[in-house]
Amino acid sequence: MSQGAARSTRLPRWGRVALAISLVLLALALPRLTSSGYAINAMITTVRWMIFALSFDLVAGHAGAVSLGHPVFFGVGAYVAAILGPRLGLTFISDMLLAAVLMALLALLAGIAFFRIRGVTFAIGTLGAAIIAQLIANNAFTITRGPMCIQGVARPELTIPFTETTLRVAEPIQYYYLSLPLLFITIIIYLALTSSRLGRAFTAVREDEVRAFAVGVSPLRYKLLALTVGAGIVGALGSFQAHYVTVVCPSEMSLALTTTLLIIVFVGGVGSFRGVMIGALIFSILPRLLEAGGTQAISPALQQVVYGVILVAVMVFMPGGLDDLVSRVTRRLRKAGPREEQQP
Amino acid sequence: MAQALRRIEIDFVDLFLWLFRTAIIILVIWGTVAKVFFGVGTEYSTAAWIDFTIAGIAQGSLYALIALGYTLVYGVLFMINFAHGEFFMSGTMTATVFVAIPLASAGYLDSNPFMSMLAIMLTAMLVSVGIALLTERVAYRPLRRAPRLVPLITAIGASFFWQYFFRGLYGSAVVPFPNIPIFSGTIEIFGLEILRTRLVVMAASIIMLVGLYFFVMRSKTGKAIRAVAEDKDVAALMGVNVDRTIAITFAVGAAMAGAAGILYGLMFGQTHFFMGFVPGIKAFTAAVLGGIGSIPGAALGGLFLGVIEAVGPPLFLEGLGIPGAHQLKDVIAFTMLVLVLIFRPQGIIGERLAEKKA
Repeated sequence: MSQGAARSTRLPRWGRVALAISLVLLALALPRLTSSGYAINAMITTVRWMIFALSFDLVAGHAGAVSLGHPVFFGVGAYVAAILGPRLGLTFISDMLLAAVLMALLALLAGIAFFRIRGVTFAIGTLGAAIIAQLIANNAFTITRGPMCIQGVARPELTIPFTETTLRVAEPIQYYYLSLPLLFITIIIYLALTSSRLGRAFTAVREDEVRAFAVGVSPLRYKLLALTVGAGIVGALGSFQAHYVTVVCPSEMSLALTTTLLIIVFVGGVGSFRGVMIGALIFSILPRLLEAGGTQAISPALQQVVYGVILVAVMVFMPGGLDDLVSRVTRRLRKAGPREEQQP
Repeated sequence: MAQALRRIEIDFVDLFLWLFRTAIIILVIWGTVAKVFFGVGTEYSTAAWIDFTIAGIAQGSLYALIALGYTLVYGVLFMINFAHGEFFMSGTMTATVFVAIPLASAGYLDSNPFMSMLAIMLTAMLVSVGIALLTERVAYRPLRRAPRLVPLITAIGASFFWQYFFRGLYGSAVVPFPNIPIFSGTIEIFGLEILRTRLVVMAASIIMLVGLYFFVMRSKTGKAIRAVAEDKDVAALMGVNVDRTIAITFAVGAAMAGAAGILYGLMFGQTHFFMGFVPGIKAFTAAVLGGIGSIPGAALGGLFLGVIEAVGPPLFLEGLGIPGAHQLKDVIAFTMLVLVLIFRPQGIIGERLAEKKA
């Protein structure tokens, strides 16, 4: 939807490379600037929402299937780390890989069934599945311990290659540096899947499945691809989360996560890398700012009300989201200049 | 080559779906047989089974009333009004807090139960209608020409908004719905002990369902609703005010939801800011089961869902040896939702759901 607008405000290649490098350096340097654990926790949350939202946007924004069941893969991934990991004696990295592979398989099977549901009812069908998953997690005491949660998930231990030392991860700052590679991998996968020929195929599927099929793009295959990859990423993230907070509860797949994802992606700009990243940044920082600023003045309920208003207002007045806003501003700034690429 | 591959892909999908469907049918039959012939789990008397069924019918008639809102709106706009459950909740909570509880503490609810029930219900319906009209005007009407994904997202946003708005107003605690002596206890009909509240719920639902059916089929406004559902542009050419008719459709659905909310309060004795969510999705399930867009379908779908949900856990879930089967009735309802959407989106009797006018 906002693809065209994004394209027309693109920086030249060297500019983009420079921007990417400086953002990576910033991400690496950021925790060094502060010593407060609170701030570093906020950074980990931000990275987590970025990964979560990018994987969700692959499915919702690019394959055009708004799955309200996305957090299920996160929650089950966390349970894989908490239940299967210790029994199989896996380390942190292989645990994450296992969660990713299992969630991708689950997504493949679920996708074959659920992509039969066309149009907007797909959302409510996947919502039903998400509620079922949560009810099962809450009631299967023997496996998940229900609302009592599984506690004491092992903290990661990393063996540093070519040395004998093992690093026991416990500090927030270590977790932050552990989460960054996952974010970079997610970004690379996201960009690879959404640019070039693949990206155009996704756009075709999203805009009109029948016509996409007519020109030889199988909608089912591309939707399955997006869902499988998205679920794999978020499964690994779930595993990371389990090793980070060391507690896994049924609330890891709660619908509150779905709402936050919808807000991040649709307010940021659905189908746009820049928009999703901005959205994730804003909606990870904003609640903390509201908490810190008003202490008691802004109750959580009011915060949710504000979120609801923002979501409705953005969809009504600015369907392209913040990404569209950024594009418009940069275009206006550049109006005098000669660079005004036209999108065919 | 490519064609051959595509054929294999489709065959694989069909095979997988067939296996999925067969597995579920086998599980249900297995559970039922184990329960009926081998007596797995608790043994229930005939009276208990009848009680389950009646509870299911009463619950199902509530689903039917709420489902009307989904069905009417889907028939007209082809959109899923996600916020419908919140219309249900808003009217109920407001009427409970501002009418039912004051009336109960003034003693008027005991001395004049029918008049006060009427007042409570009218308040609930009015509030629900108000909320629905506001939501339609702000969140749906500007998006009538937008891709269909967009109103879905605003509907989720609106639902979220109203939930927390009313949580802010009335708090997150359960607000008890006052007990009305004349409606409590049991009554004996044909030798069956039936809870009076269930009887009231069923009677009120039947009256409203029949009334709505005749409103849509016989009145002039109903005709306009059907015309707009058929074709908005042609209806506009025939002099139907489309915007107004759509607003009326929302209002009628919300009024039914408001009334259903009070019946819900009567039956379960409590209201809560989150009470609209699960019944809302279940009512949508009922609407799809009966064939979305059809009023008799909503009624049948609601009853069907209510009974399956009430009889299913003691019957086939216990038969399968699942512990705590009674807490899993929601699992049955949502499984029905998923199954009907995947395998029979046209419902048991009704219209085809997906992409009807894509």
